Amino acid sequence: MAVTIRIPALLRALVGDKSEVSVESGAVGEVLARLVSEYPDVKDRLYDEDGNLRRFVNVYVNGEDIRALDGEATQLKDGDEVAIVPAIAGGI
Amino acid sequence: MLDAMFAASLQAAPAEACGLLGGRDGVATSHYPVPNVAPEPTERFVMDPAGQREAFTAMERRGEELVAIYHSHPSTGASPSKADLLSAHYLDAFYLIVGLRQGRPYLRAFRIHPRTRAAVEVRWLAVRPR
Repeated sequence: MAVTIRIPALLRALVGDKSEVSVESGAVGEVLARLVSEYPDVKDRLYDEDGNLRRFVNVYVNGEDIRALDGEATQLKDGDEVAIVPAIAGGI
Repeated sequence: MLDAMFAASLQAAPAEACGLLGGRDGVATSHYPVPNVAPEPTERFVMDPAGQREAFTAMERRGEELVAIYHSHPSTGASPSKADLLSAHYLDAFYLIVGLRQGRPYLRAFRIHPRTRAAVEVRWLAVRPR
């Protein structure tokens, strides 16, 4: 039982230049934790010092923002696709 | 496309406008305006996550890549701010800033160094169809 995590270009160097990583299914939070456990360098890019997902990191399940689902508790099923999409932002 | 970015920037002022340019081989051919959903849109921009994702999906469908990211500085000149440099995550793309000088738009283009976060200005050429 596996799900696919799509890796954005800026994180690929931290996961062996892969555009996708396959991990065992579970809730979104568990799946991302498996990614971090396999590729520890990704941790600081995804999570802040308090262990929360960074504000500029958007996570989608099959194209739906997890904020509109159950957040990191969103349960995944075999074959689901999780996409990590860094937000584009700036300021004056 | 330049006209489209300028029009979006003028329309959004005094708020910041933002959007993406898609294309191939570093040449932008498609304009994807994306709503700015920052809580204080006159001081910041945050691309609407759904709009950003739709734009990326459309680019993928058309066989395009992300060429440039633009936003406007309605009141402060077209130089990248500290927040712009620290928030930049798509460093393969050109960063374009539309400034408004007495209501007249102009554009500056930058590359952001992945390690130092320094902005290097890029000279660019607008090619207009005859």
